[in-house]
Amino acid sequence: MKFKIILSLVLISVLSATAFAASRAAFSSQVTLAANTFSTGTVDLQISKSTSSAPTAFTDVSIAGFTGNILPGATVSQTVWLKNTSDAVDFLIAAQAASVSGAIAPADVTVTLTPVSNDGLTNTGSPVIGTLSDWESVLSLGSTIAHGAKQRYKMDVSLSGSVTTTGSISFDFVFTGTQTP
Amino acid sequence: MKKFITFFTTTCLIIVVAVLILLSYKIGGMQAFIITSGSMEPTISTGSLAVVHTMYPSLLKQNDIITFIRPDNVHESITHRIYRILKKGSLTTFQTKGDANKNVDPWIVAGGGVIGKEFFTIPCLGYIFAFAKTSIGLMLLVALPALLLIYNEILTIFGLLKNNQKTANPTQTLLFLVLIGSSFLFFPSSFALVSDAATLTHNQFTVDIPSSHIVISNISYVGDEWVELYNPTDNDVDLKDWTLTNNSGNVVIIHANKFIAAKGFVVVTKDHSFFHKPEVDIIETGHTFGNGLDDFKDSVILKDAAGVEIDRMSWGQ
Repeated sequence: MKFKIILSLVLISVLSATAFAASRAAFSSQVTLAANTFSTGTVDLQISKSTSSAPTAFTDVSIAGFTGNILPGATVSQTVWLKNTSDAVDFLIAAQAASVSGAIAPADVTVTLTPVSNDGLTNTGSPVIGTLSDWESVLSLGSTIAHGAKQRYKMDVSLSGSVTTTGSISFDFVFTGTQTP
Repeated sequence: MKKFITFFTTTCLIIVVAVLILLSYKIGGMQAFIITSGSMEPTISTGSLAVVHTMYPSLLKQNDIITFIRPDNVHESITHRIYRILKKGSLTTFQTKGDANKNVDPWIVAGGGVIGKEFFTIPCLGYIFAFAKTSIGLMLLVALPALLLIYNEILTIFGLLKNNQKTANPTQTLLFLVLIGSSFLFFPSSFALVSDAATLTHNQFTVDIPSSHIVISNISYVGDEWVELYNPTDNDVDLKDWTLTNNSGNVVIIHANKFIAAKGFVVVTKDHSFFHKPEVDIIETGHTFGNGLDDFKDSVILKDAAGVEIDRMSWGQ
């Protein structure tokens, strides 16, 4: 009989410890709790070149980029808007240059992307700077666009002052929104 | 027959508990992940439980589905398909992509970041495991069975003390329920992150250097002040009556009929005492920018004889 009582007491102790450990495992780690969220629904990142502070026309997939002349040592500033039209998914934004071609070396062209306020007057995040060679790898812009929200970026394209030849450079710029967990 | 059923049930429950413990702790090279999003659909649906097994990166092939540590956040794991294998010497890295995503992932996965290759998946099972991590799940699957079991054991103890032995029938079942429920909590999640892309296509910038385009290539604004000019064109350029203006509007005029050679440099300064390299072509102006350039914040603007701005350089905030 004593053995059975001891066995029951041991079982009660083990159960209490197990339940306590399980509770700690469930509630002590924010990562674990966050991972309980399942994401479903549509995802869509749209783009606009509007300079308005409240653009309404966005395009899915792609739009024609910027064209123009640039002098050595000069910078050309442009505006890019991204809109996350997903119904539930927030996006972490990254960008990459693709299909880079032309007589001008990619290393001589610097692209700076800065998240700015809707009116474009205030920086709302840190600029990400790289030559087109750097941008041929994906660089995170470090900014998140919540579902249903849009973000304005200033896109500065600078040409190195050491460029001495005429010519041109062409490139695509791909913005990718990846779901934030 | 009853003994056989009891033995069979007990054996099954022991196997289930053992497998769950093994899978949640990556024992034996296998580990299970709850898939929490849908970028691998339709191959792996949201809420699936994906079991992966450890594999050397060199043995992985294109189109294998792998679970890996997210390169830009080591606290998360991702389950995606190998889109491309990149080999540089002995280093193997992977470009990955979700089946439902339009674009490849914005990162390169190092071989050491791969947790394992997908072995099999069980649809919907992840929802149950994730439910165990919620407050209600924890109550139903762990706390309540544990309390019932403790209560049952207390009754057993009192029964034994009164010499009226009370059999604890549900003990075994409840015990296994607690163990299974508890093991659910230790299963990690893996994201199959969805993504979308938008592209600015055919950005094109043309460099058209005018015949008189001169650039400010260097400035010394601390101590002896001078401005270096560079002529990137294929023609000599006459600098007569060109000006340099600072932020305060002080103007220095190049009166002398000086040329800057094609692909050549000149240094514009007050006099030779401000610049000590005899091998460099110097244009002396006879005076500085007012009281001198600001060491902390100023700018210099180069204009041609017609007053057209050719180049400028600024410093400071």
